[in-house]
Amino acid sequence: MAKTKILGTAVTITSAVKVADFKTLAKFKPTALALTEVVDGVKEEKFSVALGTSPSVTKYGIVFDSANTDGYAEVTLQIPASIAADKRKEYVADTYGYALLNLNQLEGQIAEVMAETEADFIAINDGIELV
Amino acid sequence: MIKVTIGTNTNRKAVNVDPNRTIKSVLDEQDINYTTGTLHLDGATLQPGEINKTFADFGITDSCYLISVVKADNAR
Repeated sequence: MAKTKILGTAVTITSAVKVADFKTLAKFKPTALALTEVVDGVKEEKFSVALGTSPSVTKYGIVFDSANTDGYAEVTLQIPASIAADKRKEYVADTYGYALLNLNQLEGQIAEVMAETEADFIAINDGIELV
Repeated sequence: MIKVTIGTNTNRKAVNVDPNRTIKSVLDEQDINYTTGTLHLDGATLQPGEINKTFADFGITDSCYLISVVKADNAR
């Protein structure tokens, strides 16, 4: 489950998924990085995550632009200075709550796919013969 | 992340993309042929060179339509 910390006027969302795992999935199983829904009989992306160079958290997904010391993907955003200190928690829950809810759901999906992918990689490595 | 409704006159789909990606990279990823039509971003025609700009460069922060309009020869 993702963790959210408020420090002053900055809020940091730390994913439960490591940057290395995001990169692996983006390369081999990119569909695992998105929650999908069926709209009018068509499968559409509901919420996605990606690695990028600028932070972005919207109802459509999150772009993580950094990692913490343990390698977990992070995104840091500014809270408007006009929001009083005691209202910041409420602001974050109101502004980013939907994204965090979907992120937790997506992390569950990613964990399942990572377990399958690791098994696939073990099988692939076993099948490679160094002559 | 932004929602981009991408496609042609007849075939469209919605994808979520990093707003700091270029329009060209998203078109390529989605296999949209942009050589045979006119590209429209939220209804406005894209000029040469603008395909290499990012969605953020155009101020898009939430969602947009990126459509390649293929015109038939009978439009005279």
